[in-house]
Amino acid sequence: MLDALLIMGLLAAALGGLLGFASVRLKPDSDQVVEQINALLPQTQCGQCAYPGCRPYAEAIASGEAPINRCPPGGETTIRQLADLLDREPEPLDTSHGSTPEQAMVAFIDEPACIGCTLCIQACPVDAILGARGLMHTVIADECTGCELCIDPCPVDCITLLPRQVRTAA
Amino acid sequence: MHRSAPHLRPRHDVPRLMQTVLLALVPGALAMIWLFGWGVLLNILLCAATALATEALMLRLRSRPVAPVLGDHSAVLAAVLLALCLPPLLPWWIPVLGTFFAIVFGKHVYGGLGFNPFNPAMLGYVFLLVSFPGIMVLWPAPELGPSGLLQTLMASSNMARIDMVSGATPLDGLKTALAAGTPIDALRNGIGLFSLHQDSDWLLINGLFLVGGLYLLRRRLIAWQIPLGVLLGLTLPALAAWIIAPTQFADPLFHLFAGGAMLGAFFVATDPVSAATTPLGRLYYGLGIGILIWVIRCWGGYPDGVAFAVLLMNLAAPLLDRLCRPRIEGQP
Amino acid sequence: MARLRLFGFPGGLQLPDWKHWSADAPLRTLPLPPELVVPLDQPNGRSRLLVEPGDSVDRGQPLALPEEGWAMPLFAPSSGTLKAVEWRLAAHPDGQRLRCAVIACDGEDRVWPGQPEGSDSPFDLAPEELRQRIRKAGIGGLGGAVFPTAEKLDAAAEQGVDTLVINAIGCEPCITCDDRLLRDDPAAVLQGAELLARACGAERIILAIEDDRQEALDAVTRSANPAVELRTVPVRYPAGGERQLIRNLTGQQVPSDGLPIDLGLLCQNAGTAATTWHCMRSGSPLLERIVTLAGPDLPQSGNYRVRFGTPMDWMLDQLQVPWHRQTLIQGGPMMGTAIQDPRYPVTAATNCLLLASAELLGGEGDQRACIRCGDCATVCPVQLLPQQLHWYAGDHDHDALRDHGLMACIECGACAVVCPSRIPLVRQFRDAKAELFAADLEQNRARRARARFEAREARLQRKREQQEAQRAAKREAARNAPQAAENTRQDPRKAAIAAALERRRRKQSDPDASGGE
Repeated sequence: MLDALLIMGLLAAALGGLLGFASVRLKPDSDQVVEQINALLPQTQCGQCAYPGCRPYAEAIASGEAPINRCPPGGETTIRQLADLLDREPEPLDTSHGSTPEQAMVAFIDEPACIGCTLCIQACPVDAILGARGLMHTVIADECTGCELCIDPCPVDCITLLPRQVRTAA
Repeated sequence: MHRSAPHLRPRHDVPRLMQTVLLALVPGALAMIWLFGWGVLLNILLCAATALATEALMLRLRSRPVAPVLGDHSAVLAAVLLALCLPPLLPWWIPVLGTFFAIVFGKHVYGGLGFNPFNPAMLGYVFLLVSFPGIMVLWPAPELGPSGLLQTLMASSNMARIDMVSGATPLDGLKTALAAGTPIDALRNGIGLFSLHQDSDWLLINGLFLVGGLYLLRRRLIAWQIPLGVLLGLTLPALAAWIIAPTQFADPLFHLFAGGAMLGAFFVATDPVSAATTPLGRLYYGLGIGILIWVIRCWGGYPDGVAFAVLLMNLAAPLLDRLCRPRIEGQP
Repeated sequence: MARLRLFGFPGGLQLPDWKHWSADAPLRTLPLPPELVVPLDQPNGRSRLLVEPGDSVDRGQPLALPEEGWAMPLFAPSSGTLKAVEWRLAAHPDGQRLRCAVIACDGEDRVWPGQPEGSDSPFDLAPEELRQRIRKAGIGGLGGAVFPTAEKLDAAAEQGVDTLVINAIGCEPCITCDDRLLRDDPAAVLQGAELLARACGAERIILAIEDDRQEALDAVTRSANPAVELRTVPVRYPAGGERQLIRNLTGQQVPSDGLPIDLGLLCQNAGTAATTWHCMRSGSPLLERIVTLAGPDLPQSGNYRVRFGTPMDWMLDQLQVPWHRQTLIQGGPMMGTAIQDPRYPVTAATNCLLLASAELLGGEGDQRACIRCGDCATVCPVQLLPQQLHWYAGDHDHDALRDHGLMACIECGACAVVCPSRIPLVRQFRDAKAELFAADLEQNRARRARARFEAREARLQRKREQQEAQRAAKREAARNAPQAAENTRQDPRKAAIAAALERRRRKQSDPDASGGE
């Protein structure tokens, strides 16, 4: 009986020590994890997840601070991919942060109304708006991610969202 | 609805496939009925009826359409295979229970035809074997003819405890004798290729299942790699062992025609759903089954190892498929 | 004729032989219909119309130029007036609607005066010139996919090929247009082959035919062209697939992510070769082709020379074919498309019109779950595991699909034909491929957005650093102010500026002093 207790106790100590060692010395490079998470995010940089861009959200996920279901543009696909990568449970999208659009949308500037103030240019996280002060602004549709960050700053409210197909057809 | 290519009718479909397999079972089944009496027939009928009823019940519970699924004959085939493994004089509730277990836990909890990882018939058989070991291994020499029918019905309704005159199968006899230390030659009934078989009953049964199996091969309805693998896997170790120690191991020909070897090789292991699906994977799958049958027969706790061998290799099938993927044309 | 060694190809299956329905009837030419319909948007590219409704057009007049994708120039198949541009449902499995130019034929078939001159001796033309003429004539592959021939030849000439394979294998059970062509006009096929070889720089020419086409073999042998080697292959579907044929003839496997030109080989359909010959000789662009009409118990079965733009319903009515209760398929039974709108015209892609009842072709009903029988893997000519692809496609597991080679699937239909559970595998795989393409597109988009975002962040950072540096420099300057003032006094120019600045400052702080604003 004593022998059994001794052996089991030693085994437990040895294995526990091994696990502890592994969790410290063999910890995955956190930067690498953030990179992997960021690669799965849609890069709209829209901020709907309540973080200022995709990389900060990726860092928050990696540190365990944020759940994986906060990204509306990524939708179910991204949640599932993140769940697979990080071995977490996939949860349905947290719609308090917005919902996945039915169709991909791009911004469109109504040119007669544009006053050339460059506020939208400054707001666009991917520099998808072409223009300069006092000159016409226009959205480069192929580069627009539909993040909607340009819509609010426009003082004359001339920016709308259109479905991607219509915008890019010749 | 918009038709899509290809626009040709497929060669065969699932119901016809199952029907042809049932057809190929007939010679061996008839032999068993002839040699072991009405009990075999009764088992077949009980199992088939239970299977259909159970499947219908499960489909209702799962809110699926009943008629198309019952019409694919897969439940009846599983039931008949199970019935052919059962000894003849059993209380009626044994085949019923076994079939119920097979259909529910071997098939429908996983999603029905095509989704089960284990062979349903073998699952049902093993369940019965492990739960009721006493009656499951006794193969009595029954009475034949009309009095045999009465005996069968009485055994079935469990109204009389039949004095089981020990009718050991050749495998059974072998195991007991070897355990008692009797050299094999003492068991031989004369000299000759099949002398280890006490009589020609099981020889005939296995021979007829072999014929049925060859028919299925010719019709290209079963994958040839599986029976080849099983028979090779059974023969080669048996041959090696018999050459090394002929007094302690039976010869390969004995093994091939004893117990459920032929039934297992051509009808049980070839169940497509639970077997491996790549060509090379199937070969290894069959080999694994054959080797395991031999190992269990020699050193296992039960006289025949077909059911356990099949279930164990069912576990290995996905891994075999992953390791044995054919090389895609145009890729390294 | 020497029987050189063949290497075979994996998988494949024997199909019923329906060639005898149409093979022996003589070739007939169909008259011009009252209306010709020319699709302007091809599934592989869009075109820009050059004429307006109301304009009169001549035969061979350019109608549309390619605008994007793999589109080819399109020509008016006969003379008449452009009536309108309408949307028609295409004979394509994706069921797209395409813009079509509708021409009212005047029956005169006037040749366009601007048509380029033909050449009496096309072999005297330089290879680049040949390729240019082939491009301008709008010649595409007549095996069914209509890939622009000039593009193929350009790529072959650039990369360098040594062997041209002329594919005369009609491996679908009922298509005999190439067989008929070889019997009736073998010289055109052989000369055309030589011309194509010259255009791409190939030194060796092989003509591949199925070994049961005795009359065609005889006709080719009689034409005795020493430049072209004749090879026969056993009948097995899909022996006519480009990669399977190359494997069969040479034993080499075309890389999944590559093309035959990577192995120094170029394949062209026999009909393409014959058409190239005729077009180069006459100067005419590609305006017509041989179409097989086939059906069980259909006396009109045979091969017909049909002008592009001929509506299918008109063609069938013209031949008095009772088509209304039957299924009409463009192509063969294995890879053909069921026609939903028979007003759609015959195009370069129409190698066959198959008419059959639903019983013969087999219904789509009664699909069951996959029973893992593995027959699909046995017949797959690419050695894929369709049963696994089926599971993964159902799961939308893109990584597993890619890993198991979905993109290498040639959609031949062999797996679906043998499936006892009647699973529509080809349709499922097409859908899955579309999903993978869309996912790739999204991923590329995301990558680009991220690159632009990071570039922008970098630019803003640089700007901030620059501003910070400027501010630091100014602080430095302020600290060194006395020294700077001393410098100013010394430098007369600087002194003048400083004085002017001082005056302005006084004026601003005391506007009444000297009549400010």
